[in-house]
Amino acid sequence: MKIPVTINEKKIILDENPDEKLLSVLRNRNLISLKRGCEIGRCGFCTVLLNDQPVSSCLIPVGIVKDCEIVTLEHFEKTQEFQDIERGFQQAGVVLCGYCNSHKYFSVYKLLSTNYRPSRDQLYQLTSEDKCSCTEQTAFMNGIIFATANKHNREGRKKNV
Amino acid sequence: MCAKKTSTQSENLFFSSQFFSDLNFPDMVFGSFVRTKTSSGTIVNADTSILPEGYFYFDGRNEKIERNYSVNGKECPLFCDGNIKFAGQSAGIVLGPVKSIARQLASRMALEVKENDSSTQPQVIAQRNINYGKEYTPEEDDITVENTWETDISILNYSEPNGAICFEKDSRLYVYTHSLWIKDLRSNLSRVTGYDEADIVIYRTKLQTNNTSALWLNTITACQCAVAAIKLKRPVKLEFTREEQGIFAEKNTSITISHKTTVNKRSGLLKAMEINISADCGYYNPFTQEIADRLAISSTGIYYCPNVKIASKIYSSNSIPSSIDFNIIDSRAFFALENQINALIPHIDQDSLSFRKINKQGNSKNEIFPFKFESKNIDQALDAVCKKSIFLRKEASYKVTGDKRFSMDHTSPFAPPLRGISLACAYEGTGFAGSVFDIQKNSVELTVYPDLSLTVHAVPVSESIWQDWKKIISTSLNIPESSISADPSFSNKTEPENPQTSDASVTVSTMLIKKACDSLKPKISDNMATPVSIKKTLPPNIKKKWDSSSFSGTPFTSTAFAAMVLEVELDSCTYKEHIRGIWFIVDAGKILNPKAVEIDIRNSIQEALRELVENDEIEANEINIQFINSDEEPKPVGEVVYSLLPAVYSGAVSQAAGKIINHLPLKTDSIYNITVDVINEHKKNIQKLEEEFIQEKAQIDESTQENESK
Repeated sequence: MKIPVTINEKKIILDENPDEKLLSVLRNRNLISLKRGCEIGRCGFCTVLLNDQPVSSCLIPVGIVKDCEIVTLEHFEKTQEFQDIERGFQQAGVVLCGYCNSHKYFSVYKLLSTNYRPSRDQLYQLTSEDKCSCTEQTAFMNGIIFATANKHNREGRKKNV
Repeated sequence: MCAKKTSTQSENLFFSSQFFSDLNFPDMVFGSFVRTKTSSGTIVNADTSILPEGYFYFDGRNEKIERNYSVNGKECPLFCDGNIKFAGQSAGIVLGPVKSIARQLASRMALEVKENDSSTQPQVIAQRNINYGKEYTPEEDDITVENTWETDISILNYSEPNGAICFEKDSRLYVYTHSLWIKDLRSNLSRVTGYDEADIVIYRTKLQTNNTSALWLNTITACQCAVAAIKLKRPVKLEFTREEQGIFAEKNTSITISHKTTVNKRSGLLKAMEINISADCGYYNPFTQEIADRLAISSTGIYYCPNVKIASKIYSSNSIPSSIDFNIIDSRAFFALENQINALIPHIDQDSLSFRKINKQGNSKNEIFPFKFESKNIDQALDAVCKKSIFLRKEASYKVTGDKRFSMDHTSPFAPPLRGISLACAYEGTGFAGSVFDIQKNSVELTVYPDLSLTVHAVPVSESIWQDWKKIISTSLNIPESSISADPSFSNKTEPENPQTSDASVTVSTMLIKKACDSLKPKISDNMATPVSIKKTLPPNIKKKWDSSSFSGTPFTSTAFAAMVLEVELDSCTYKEHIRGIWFIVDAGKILNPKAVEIDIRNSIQEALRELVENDEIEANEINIQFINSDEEPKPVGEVVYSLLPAVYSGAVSQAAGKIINHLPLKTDSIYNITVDVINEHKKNIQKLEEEFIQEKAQIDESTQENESK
């Protein structure tokens, strides 16, 4: 099946079995930032941005991504949003194991793009969902707070928000 | 700063920062295991007719290869030799250019098996018996409590699965895999493939700390991959599926421990302990003796008892070989011991804290016990953690509430909650003197150059440990951290013999780095003309403290003592537990980086909490961590949490639910079932009492009538 799709801002036509998992298709194209974790949508290690929404690619059959825009961490690394988060993690002393990076970066990106200043409950909920043991929960929460501050500094602080 | 030594052609060990699963090579084929479905029988034929062109089946049966993998002097089969030893044994590998197709074909491939009764009964393959003191006969004031405790907790993780990439090039064998024990990997690859050890180039790929199978189980996969690559003359990538990883790589040993403990009711002193430990290690496990020994030592914990009888037995059976995580093997014994103590407390005139304090080792100078632990601050630590958690008041209060549980209406919103609190203590031992790995082979080499830069010649460690090492060196030698670099250049002749990057070896290495710094200090000057190197190993007297023939002495190089209190509340509607707080204290010598250690402990607590209930997650909002102020050598602390948390969790839930929990992990409906059992049992008792009352009343009425009629 021919599937037109935009991967990391490049328009291409995939020729794949529509039942094939998006995870396998992307990894076969050497996009290895997404990892094979639980493969049941629990761990999030295979997260990609699908039309700007973080999704577990192990649950997405490639047949349904027709005309969608997919961003993997390889491309997201070039953005300023990534740098805000990366610097925030460094400031909080968070060192990622390399296996869960997609999940952590994209989930934080989503949180910060939908909330100007995430609440403690939101931070707690997001960090509780993290299934990788490389990062301690409080340190992860601090990393997000630093990332928020970095984003505000870059964008210029908004008033009355 | 770059390493001073440069790589040479003779080097055949490299450390890659990539995961092997992310690597691809031209013309590479993917392998998938064909596994046996029964635990016994003989494979007559493998139906390869379903394989399309370009796909192969390889089972090693007709190849001239060494059939066994050898570790620690024990032989383990590489492939099934025809006679099935356990369900899920790898019979062969399907190889092909597309991974998903190879996996589908492997799962569909039929093995023709002739049934026979080759299944064997579990056999004892390792044991340790300890008899100390005399055969004790309980006295009038004594009470004996018997319980059996069982744990099969596995640390759930979604780290990179087992696997390897192998290929031949220029008469050398290239292997990309993650392994904790490189020496063993190389020797087995050489044994299986016939390659000289010097001609095997190992790229140790990125290793995740929670991968328990990287010690020896993954070496089998690497050997299987290597023989397939040699046969096909193409690069082969062999990788476990997530399901295979859970079943065949991370399955932990299920351990059952029965305790029979006699204690004096008035004084609370332990009089006798009889401990029976049994564990099924599956079809093979090369470290059974060490497992038996470690369990036997930790089964008495920090306590002194004048009469002890321990029988630790490890069985082999037709079940799947188990993985082993030496870092948490002691936790099973502590779980049983601390819960046994909690079960004793209601029968004696002592509270949980006093009992532990009066029975700990080292109270009397005259006491002689097979195992010695050097920790001076046990009382101080116990007092501090109990004070912080208000343990004594809460324990007494919850006991009173628990006793009245049946007279209260728990469905009312005003009903008092069901709460429980528990205390446990344990130690984390490093550098087990009775281990098959000789701790004296651990070494660290530091080199200072004339420009006052320094290199650490060691296997790469995690970023946090590397930062600790840099801090130690920088503080001791007054060298800027930016001038310190790692030198991980090794060859087959210089590579470490012991498994590296395990917690034990890292702790020993940290200790050696400190010693090397002390030795280097007087030799460093601004006018140094040539580089100065210092290589440090552990002094021989460390091993002399342990007598392996009598199995007694000081078993660990260093021991960190820790205690934990956990408070839990049960929701009477959902029967879900809510952890109200965890209080943890540790005596781990001088803490170099308290913030980092605290984060490490918190992380361990959060990880350990995930394993206590199957398919559910428990969260703890309040985690309080304290350190005992000490100037002693730094000791590892990350794993002692796994020894404490299961014990305090089950103790607290037992108190809240009103029934002893002697098996972990729990299931999501366990607490509901326990509560229903307790209520039904109570109803039965009430019914029985009512019947007895009615009978008695009837008898009294009868006798009254008789008297009246008379």
